[in-house]
This record gives sequence, C-alpha cells and structure tokens, in this order.
Amino acid sequence: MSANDFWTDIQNSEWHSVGGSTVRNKQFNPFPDDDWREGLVRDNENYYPPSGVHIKIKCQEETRGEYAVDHHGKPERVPATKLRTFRLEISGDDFLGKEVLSTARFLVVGDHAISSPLTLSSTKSVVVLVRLHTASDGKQVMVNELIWSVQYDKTPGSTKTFYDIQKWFCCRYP
Amino acid sequence: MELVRGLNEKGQFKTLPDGVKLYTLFNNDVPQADFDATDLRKLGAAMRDLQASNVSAMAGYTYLGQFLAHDLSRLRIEGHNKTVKSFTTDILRSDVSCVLDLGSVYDGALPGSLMRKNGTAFMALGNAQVTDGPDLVGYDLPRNGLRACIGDDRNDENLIVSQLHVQFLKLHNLFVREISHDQPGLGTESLFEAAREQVILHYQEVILHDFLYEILHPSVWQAIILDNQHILWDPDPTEPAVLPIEYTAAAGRFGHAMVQNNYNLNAVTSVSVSELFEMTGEGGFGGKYQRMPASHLIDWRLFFDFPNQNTLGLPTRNKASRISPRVRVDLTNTQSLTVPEETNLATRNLLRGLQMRLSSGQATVNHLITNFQSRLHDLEIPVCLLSREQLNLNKPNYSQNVLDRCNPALSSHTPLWYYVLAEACVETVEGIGKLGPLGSLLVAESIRGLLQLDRNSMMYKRRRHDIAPSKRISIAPARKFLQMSDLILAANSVVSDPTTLITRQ
Repeated sequence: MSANDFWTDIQNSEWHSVGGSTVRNKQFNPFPDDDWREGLVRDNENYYPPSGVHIKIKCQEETRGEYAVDHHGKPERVPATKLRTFRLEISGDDFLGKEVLSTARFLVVGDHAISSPLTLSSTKSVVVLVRLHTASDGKQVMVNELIWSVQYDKTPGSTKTFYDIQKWFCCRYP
Repeated sequence: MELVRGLNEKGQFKTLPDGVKLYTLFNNDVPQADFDATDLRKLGAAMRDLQASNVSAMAGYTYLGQFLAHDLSRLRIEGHNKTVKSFTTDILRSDVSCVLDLGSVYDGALPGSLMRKNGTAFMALGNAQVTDGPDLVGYDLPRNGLRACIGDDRNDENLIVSQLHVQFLKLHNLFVREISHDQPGLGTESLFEAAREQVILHYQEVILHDFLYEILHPSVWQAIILDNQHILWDPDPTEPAVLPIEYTAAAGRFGHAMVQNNYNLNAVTSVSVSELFEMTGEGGFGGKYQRMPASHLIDWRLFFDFPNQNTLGLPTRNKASRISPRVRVDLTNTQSLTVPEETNLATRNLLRGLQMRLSSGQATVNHLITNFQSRLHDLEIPVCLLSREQLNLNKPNYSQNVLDRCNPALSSHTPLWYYVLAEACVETVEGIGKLGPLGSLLVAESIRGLLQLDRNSMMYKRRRHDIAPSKRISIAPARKFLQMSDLILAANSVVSDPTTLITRQ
C-alpha cells in the first residue's frame, strides 16, 4: 500500500469498536496469574475501547516550507514537506484511554501512522501505531498497535522497565 | 444490649434469632432468601477473577462514597473508644446516628481538643513532609504522632479518603472566615457550630446532586432526588434514624466494584490500591515516613471534574471501574480483629447478606412490581426482572457465566448485592455505567429517607450561597448543581498539583 493509499483511506473515515483487543485474550498475556507482569498487562485493559465506541478521523495537512541546515559548514537544503496528521474524535461509551487518545496527534509515515508519545502516569506511557488492514471480505479494519512502557521499579533513577505490545481494532463504519 | 434504638409502628424491623432487630425498607413483606454459604464462597471467589469492566464516573466518587459510608454507619465495640474496622462481623452494634451529619469529621471536636485550632472556631490541620525542605502547612490531617485526630479513624485508613477528609476541614475553616466576617460578634462556639452546619448542608447537597447523580439511574435520580418523590420510605422525623438493611448489606455496597487497580495521585506519583492503605497514619506511611509525604498529596483535578480548569498535560485522570459483578478487593488489615474474617471482600459481602436475612434480587423486584407498579410507571422507573443472561453479564455484552458456574440455582434466586451489581451492566447511560433501576431505588430512597428523618438536614434548612455551583446536568439544563469540585475549589482558592510546591521550596 502506498503512502497515498493510507492517507486517502484514513481521511474522513469513521470507525466503530467491537471491543476487540489482544489484551482481552489470555494468549497475549502469557504470564501466570501470580506473576506481577500478568497484573501489569491486565491493569491496562481499561485503556482499550469497549464495544459501542465511535471514532471519526479528523485530518490536518500542514506544509513545512523549504529550509537549510548546516552540514559540515555547507548549507544543506531540506525540501518542503507536507505533514499529514490526524486525531481521533471519540464518542460513545467511556473508557480510560478516551481522554488521552483524544488528545493524541497521529503522524502519517508511509503506510502507517504513529501517535505522539502518550504519558499515562509518572511510570507508564504508550505509543500507538495505526495500520489499515483489508479483511478477506474486502472490508477495512483499523489496527492499533499499543507499545507500552512501564517503569516498574519506583526507586528514583531506576530504568527498570517492562515493555508490552497489544493491539485493538475497529471496523470501518458503516 | 440495645442494638437498634427504638421501633416504629410500621413493624419495619426484621428480627433475627438472637433478638436483634434490623430495619428493612419492605416491611418484612418480602420473603428472606436462604443460600448455601459454600455457594456464596464460590461466587465471591469467582467475582474476584472476572474480567474488568469499562470505566465509569471519576474515581473521586468511589472514595466520596466510602467517606459517606463511614459517616452513615459507624460501629464501635462496647467499652472501646476505637472505631471498629468497617469489615468486622460485629455488624449490629451501633452507637451513633445514621444521619448525614459528618460525625466522622466533627465527633470529638471539642474546645481544647487536638482536632481544634487552639482557642478558635477553626479545625486543626496537619503538615505534609518534604524530604529536603520545610513542611507544607495545612495539607494533612492533624496528628498526634502517626494517629490522626479526627472523628472516625477509618478515614485515615486510605490515602484518598484521608485527603478528602482534609478538604472538609478546610471547608469548615472557610466558613468560619465567611461567617465571622458577616457576624463579627459571634462567640467562638457559636461560630464553630454555624460553620459546622454549613459544611454539613453543603456536603448533603453534594451527595444528592453530584455523587448520586453520577451513580444512579437517571429516572430514579430525577424522581426520588430531584423531585423528592418516594415509593418505599416516607419516614416521620420523630422516628429513630436507622439505615435500611437493603442499603447497608446490598445496594449501598456498589462502591466495592468501582475500585481501580492503580491511581495517579499527581504528576509524579502513581500508586496501587495496596499503597493507598499503606500511605496513611494507620498504615504507618509505609514505614518510610513520619508524616504524610508531600509527594503523595492529591491533585484533585485527577479525581473530579473541575469545569473551567485546564487538564491538558496532566497524567491520565482517574476513572472508577464500571459497577459490575467484578469485585477484586482483598482486605489485608484484618489481624486486629478478634473474629477471623473473610479477606475477600466479595465473599464477605455475600455472607453479610445471608447473615442479615436479605431477600433475593428476584423476590425484591417481584414485590416492587406487584405492589408499586403504577407508582413506578408514573415516575417512569423501569424496574423489571433480569433474565438469566443479563444476570450472568459481567460486562456489557460479555458474560463469563459466573452464576451458572457456581450454581445454576443462583440465576433464579440471586443474592441482592450481586443482583444490583449485575443490573448495572445491562444499560449504559450517557456513555458510562450507573446502577440499574432497582439498585438506584434502594440507594436513593435510603439517602432521601435519612435526610427526611433529620430536622437539621438540607430538607429543612438552607445553605449559604458563598460557593457557586457549576455542575450541569442534561435533564435539568436550566440549573447548575453544587458538586464536590466546587467545595474543593472554594476550600483551596486555587486547585493545582501540590507536588509543584515541593520544587518551589
């Protein structure tokens, strides 16, 4: 899929969640029940949209003019770029990630888009990667890949971090 | 031993074998339910492991609800000053009124006590500890060592409730300043009483128009709370103030399902539920601090909606779990009890219902429909019997068949507490989950009845108008209602992240 296809397909589109996410599937949380990592994955469930959530894509295109940067003492011209971005207008049932996903801005990069970093708490953040998948019946599905980072050791200065990737998806509306 | 003071003429007291009498909304007309305790233990364990539900109201309401519960039902062991832990099996001894009178804030606040600021009408406040700087003054409960000097020590078992209690102390002090400005000649104790009355009236209004609005089915809230109608309970103020058992042992326990696993306290500190209990005086501040650490002070913008306050750039605001049969709360501090207790809160609640001879959910609904159908219809309250499928829901459109797995008979004969939680999963209102019609009716009638019983309540007295209400409600668009955030804003002048004060030192 070319960049244009993704941008064309995502523009002005509307989606509805059926509550599908890998975090609700035990297969994607393979830790035993008494493992602290199992709890970390489970705790994130409320950040995923339940069924009954409606999402409109609100696109914005900005042109960044040509400019020059110094490269080993010589000006290097950087061509003008179109920044293709969108945000999600979310309505319907509430869920914990609604507020933060509504404030995120997604930048289109080729056949996918990536969100601005979303800080959920002092120890927890997430980045969302958006792709479009065409199902066997020809209908499009929006697949959102959440890349989690949780600092689990609260000792100041500690960098011990737990990473996880889970997906949720929406069906194209109508 | 007198367990419940007085009897009314309507015979609305249920008698247990040992002579104990408990007040019921249904005049003993609904047959009591009998369950096998083994089934209830299985059900309690299964409820713990259900999948989480969606989010609901702001998380502050979970703990405002707990604050209310402490105010309503305070139990003491005879011969002891210390309040019994809320989870004791000794449910039947009560030495305080059940009215909404902020006894948890004011009991014991006598002149000269550590709860009062010396020689004045102000309530005392404590300081929060900063590791590398001077204390933050007025951010904690007043303490004598670790022990909080407050009317009910249960309000220092949980960090959020403890900090909420501080807000009521600050509100009291605000009214002392406002009233002394208007009536400069008032003596200290008259000023104290006038401020106390205002705090209670404001608190009652917030409970009715903010807390209950967030929790109750809209048609019940409108009929019973906003329009002050009643179906089940119309008490005379001369009757003793008692709390109906349908509230205490079932419907009033909805908050146990609203507890989240983690909370963002402010921009720099997030905690698990267990840490909420450790970071209090009762929890010894986790063994790490001598006093309330400033790093754990609450930014209330993360717990309540503040209209006109910018929340951009804040951590994710805390929402409550949606009310559902998923209850995962383990009680860890039961070691001080003389009677061994269930540590699984869900199991304990189910056994409590059995102990108090509550009716089943189905029997209660059938009684309502048989006896009050036209009244329910007039007030547009859609009470109806839940189907087997609905009772087995643990999230909207999602079932783990929890009742059927424990004992299929529980689906036709369901403990009232569980029934009320399952009912909350059936309908979503304004994007969030609230109690269903039955649960809402039991809660609304209980609270409304208690306020009617109290000659000093907001039903009979008017509050001052220093604090402008800001809550907008779609079913009453022409009016603004008082909400908890209005009280917090008034008590603090400005609401911000308290941890920013640490870095300024």
